[in-house]
Amino acid sequence: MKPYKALFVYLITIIVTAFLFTPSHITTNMLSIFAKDKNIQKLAIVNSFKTTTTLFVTIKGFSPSHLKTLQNIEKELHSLTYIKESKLNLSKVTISDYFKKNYYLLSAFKPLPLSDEAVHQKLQSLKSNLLDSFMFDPIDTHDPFKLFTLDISTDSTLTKNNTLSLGEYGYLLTAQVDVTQGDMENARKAEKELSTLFEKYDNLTAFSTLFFTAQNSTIIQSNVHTILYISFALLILVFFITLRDSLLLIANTGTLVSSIFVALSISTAIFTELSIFTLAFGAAISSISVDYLFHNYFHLQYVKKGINRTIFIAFFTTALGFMLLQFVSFPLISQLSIFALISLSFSYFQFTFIYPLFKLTPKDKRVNIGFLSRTKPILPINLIFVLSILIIVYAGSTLKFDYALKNLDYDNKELKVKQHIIQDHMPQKVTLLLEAKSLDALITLSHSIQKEIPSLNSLSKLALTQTQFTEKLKQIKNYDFTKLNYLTNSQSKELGFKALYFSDAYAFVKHIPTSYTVELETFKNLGYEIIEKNKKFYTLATLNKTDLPLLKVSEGIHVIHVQDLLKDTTSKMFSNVLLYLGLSFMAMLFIILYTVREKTILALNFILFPIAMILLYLSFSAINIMHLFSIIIIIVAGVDYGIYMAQEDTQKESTQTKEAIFYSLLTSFSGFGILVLSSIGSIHSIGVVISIGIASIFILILFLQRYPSLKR
Amino acid sequence: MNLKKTISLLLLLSLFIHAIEFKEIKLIEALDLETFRYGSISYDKEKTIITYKDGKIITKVDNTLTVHNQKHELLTTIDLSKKPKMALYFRLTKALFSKNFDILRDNFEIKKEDLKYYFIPKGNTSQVVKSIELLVKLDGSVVYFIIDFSNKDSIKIETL
Repeated sequence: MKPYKALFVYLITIIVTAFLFTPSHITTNMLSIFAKDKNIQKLAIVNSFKTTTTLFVTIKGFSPSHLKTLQNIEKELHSLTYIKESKLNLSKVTISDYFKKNYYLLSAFKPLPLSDEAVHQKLQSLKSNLLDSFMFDPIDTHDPFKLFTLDISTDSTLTKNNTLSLGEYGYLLTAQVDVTQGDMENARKAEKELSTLFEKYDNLTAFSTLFFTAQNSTIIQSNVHTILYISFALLILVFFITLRDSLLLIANTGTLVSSIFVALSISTAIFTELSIFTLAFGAAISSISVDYLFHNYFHLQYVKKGINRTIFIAFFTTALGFMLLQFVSFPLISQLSIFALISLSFSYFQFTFIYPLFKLTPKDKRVNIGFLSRTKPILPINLIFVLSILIIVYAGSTLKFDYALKNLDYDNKELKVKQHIIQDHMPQKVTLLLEAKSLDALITLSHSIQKEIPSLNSLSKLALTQTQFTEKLKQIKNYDFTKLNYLTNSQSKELGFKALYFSDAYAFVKHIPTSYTVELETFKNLGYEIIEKNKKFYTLATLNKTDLPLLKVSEGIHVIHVQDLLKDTTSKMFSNVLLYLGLSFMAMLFIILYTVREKTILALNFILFPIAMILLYLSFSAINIMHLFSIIIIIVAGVDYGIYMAQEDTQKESTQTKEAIFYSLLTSFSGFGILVLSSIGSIHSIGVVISIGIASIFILILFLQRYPSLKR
Repeated sequence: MNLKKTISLLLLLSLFIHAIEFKEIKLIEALDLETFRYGSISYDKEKTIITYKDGKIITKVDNTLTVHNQKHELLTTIDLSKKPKMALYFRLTKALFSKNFDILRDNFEIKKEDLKYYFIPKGNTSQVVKSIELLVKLDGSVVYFIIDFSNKDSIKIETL
């Protein structure tokens, strides 16, 4: 293809794909990277509940001055728009309209026998209590005999002097912060304002999971910025100072950006939920294509005619691997494969067909890296091969998988200390997701659990099933309140009560609602959200961790333990991933065998040795999802380098190849190896794997023996 | 005598020093009857103790009320979190005796005329309490206070 024709194709591709670009399909939702199995569906439902984040504020000790401070803070908090309902003074309970309306239906009803004797006895005890009472203990004239009782008291371990307390630690103020999870901008704003508010007070512990979101994202952002500057400085060093070729840098940047853009546009058109991780790792894999450029460049391909066969084989091998990997049921890997396939193909196209236009050749004034060829090849090919396989088998069998996604985040020690202060003094809770075909069935389910585990916090605390409602109403209606009133009035007179003192008693019975409906909005406001999805109803419930053994898990009850669910899904996906990784490897092996024949082992060393070193390192810690994807990046690079190294026939060619690989490695290190400096779990993981991989390949370039057929 | 013992003795003494003798006059609307009795109250940060001359000793720690007879036998234990009106009365008495009005500001509007204070309930409190009147001496000590309840009951406490 003529370069000008290629340039035309390039422009058309950019224009067409620009129309395909659908940025709304890019998601930061962590769940989108997993196969949509039952576990992930459950977690997705849990995530769709609009839960506010709780803010905890406490000071050690129960001194009145501490209480005063918390009261002041409570007042200040109320001036902030995103603070909803705070809790400190428990005597100040506001009763919702729902409670007012349904109080008698929700209460337990204990009828009193309708006899003179029973009523007399009750009134007598009321009288003695009034006379004998050392305190103010008045008669409830609406329900003097306490026939209706409703217990809505709070957990007594969390109260002291009528105030919310954090066990024996100190008074506790809680408030609901209404910032949607993942709304980074508002989370940061809220965190900043709250921190300024708390700054004024000494010895205060204020904590909310929202602080993690806000602080960590800020820290991650500044960390990433620093690394980007270092990375950029290193890239400039490579291209300007060592290669002294600015056109090469500009052209390569253009290729990389356009390839990522084309891959991203097409991917967003294909996938409705494209993980941000696909974008990140896809971009990383794309940058590996720089080795096509360097190989062409150092072999003076841009001033020769035709295309470089070795680069084509390397590209084709990698592409074939990705073609097979897209069938993996792990969405992140299948997405990544498509992204990488498109991006690598487009880069290859540019490097091969458009770049001859620039007639790029290595500059004579470039830094001399002759030392690459002067080292003594001391590592025997077969030994490295066998050793690598042995290490992979050993490390692979001892490898532990780290499923904890939080380990990928920034390790915010300061906040974790505060989190511990709160958590250690609170009963540990377990979340349950309840599921039923109808609203009534959902309430019935909740009641059935509550029966076994009274401490359950769920809508059964407030909601009645239709059966419960009809039974309660029937029970109340069947009781003769008129007779009770008659007996009360006549007996009370005898006992010396004021005339008509009980005339209003039980008048409310006439106003007890005759129908009962659970309104979703009302329950949401009461803190028990119910959601309807695909003709099913869901709600969340919490129970004390210590009560978990009492729970009989039956249909519709799901214990939500995020880590375990993700672990289960990931381990299920793993066998599938291994199968396709195996298939890809076989396909690549076949091509390598076919093209480099007797030098296959040499080429394979460039894949196996880096993997062996990486796995060896990881066997001392644990492998996480970021490590796994970074290993794929190293395999992609290793395949190319292996094929290049095995294809060299002359010493000159070998030096050119080494130089090309050296600069490819340097570029990759500047881009990704540098991430090892990051203090953030996920970024550090990528950096570690890439750095070890690069270092291993570099060792092979310097010290691996060649086959004796190499001509001078 | 070691330091610990001295301190505990001093603490014990301070508890008795705080004891205030009073007369409690109660108007019971339901029975249209007035009763009175004598007692003393002592309190510290953690604990409030009311001793009635007719023999009952009431101790409040946190949200728990215990009633003992003169022989120090436990008669009853009451969880105040389940008796909000009783809890409110206890808070009021302690606050008025100690003149710690800060904790009342959330529930009452406070007015002062010479040596008299008036407490006008706010929000839900008005469903229990109608008004409170407190008279103090020049030195600030309590002469009496009257709590008028919304159910027309009334309690007057006079210090002796």
